[in-house]
Amino acid sequence: MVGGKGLGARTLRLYLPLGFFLVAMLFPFYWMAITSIKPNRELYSQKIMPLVVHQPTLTHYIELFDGTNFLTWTYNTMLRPSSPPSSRSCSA
Amino acid sequence: MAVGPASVARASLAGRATSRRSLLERESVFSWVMLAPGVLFLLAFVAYPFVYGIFISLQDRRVASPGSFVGLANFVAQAQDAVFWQVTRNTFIYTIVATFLKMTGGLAMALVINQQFRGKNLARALLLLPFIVPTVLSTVAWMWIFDPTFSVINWTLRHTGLVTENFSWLGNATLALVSIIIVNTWRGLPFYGITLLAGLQTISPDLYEAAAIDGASVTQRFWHITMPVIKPVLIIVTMFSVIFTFSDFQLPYILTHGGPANATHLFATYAFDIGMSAGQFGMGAAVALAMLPALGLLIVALTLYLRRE
Repeated sequence: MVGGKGLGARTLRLYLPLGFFLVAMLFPFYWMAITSIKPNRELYSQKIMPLVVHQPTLTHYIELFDGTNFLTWTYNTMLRPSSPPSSRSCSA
Repeated sequence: MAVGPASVARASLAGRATSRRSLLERESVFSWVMLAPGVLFLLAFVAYPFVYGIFISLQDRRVASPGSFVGLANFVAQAQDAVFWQVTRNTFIYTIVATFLKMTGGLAMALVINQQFRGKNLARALLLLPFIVPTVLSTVAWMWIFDPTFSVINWTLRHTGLVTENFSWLGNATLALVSIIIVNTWRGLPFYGITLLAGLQTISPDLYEAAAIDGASVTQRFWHITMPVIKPVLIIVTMFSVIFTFSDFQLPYILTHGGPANATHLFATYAFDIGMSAGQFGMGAAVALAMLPALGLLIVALTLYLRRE
């Protein structure tokens, strides 16, 4: 593209909107990730700043593998040929 | 030369083979042989359920009863039901607003990632993530983001002093509709972004250079070079997106389940609730078929456009 030159113009045309899109598109994934390692007292608190993890824990993962049939579910998803992930390929 | 029985047999065998081959060589026959598997597949999995849906919609059919023919009574009952018209309104608002946001946002995204910068491929891959992960998964994450008490959006708004009370994102009729539109936009925007990016990459940089030399401004270059080239892509992407947004099911069903008080029911979720959850198959089929006129018009428009191109 031809257009304004210099760092200022590039910031306005590239870095700002790119940053906006990256944050908007990836925030839910960041949120999923940090939610999975937050202890319950942080999850269910309205006071603690929620955007970062203060005391990370693996409790939820341990419970997932020990307390549920997660491995069976994984097997069902990955290896059973009848699972239909392709049915959502057109969900624009 | 003596003609033995063996050579006669060989000749007739060859004759049969050639007649079979000539039959196959006839284009009208051959084309149907090749088409048959696809046509059978479509008949079995598209045409049959569709026709059966129409058949059921004309019946008063409930779970565990054979059903009786009632003509258009199901459609009449729906047309007199205020909830049905609310669902219609919801679906149109949802489709129009979400499509507009996805189209403009996706075009902006495409223009941004079409530029040259370090980490370009990584950024493109990351931006496509919302579209790739299963809707069910990402919608559950959004449920937590919209949680009435622990919503991160509410926390941010409260702590920046913009509001003093929590929004009930999924509990308020207007906000719930806004919420499912936000999530739909979030999920569908990358699809537009990547598809329009493909359209943008077909534009030769020479055109921009020539226009710049002729003194065209950035805006003029956008409207007179970029837009005409990507217009076909834009139209087709939008049409497909409208079809899938209009008949969207997973997202509203998981996020709000149609609530509160039907405020976020779309045709698909409402039809499912009536037909499957409430067991009124005939009524559910009638609601599902109510999608047909709007989608039919769209498909006709799309076909006409594609044929003209």
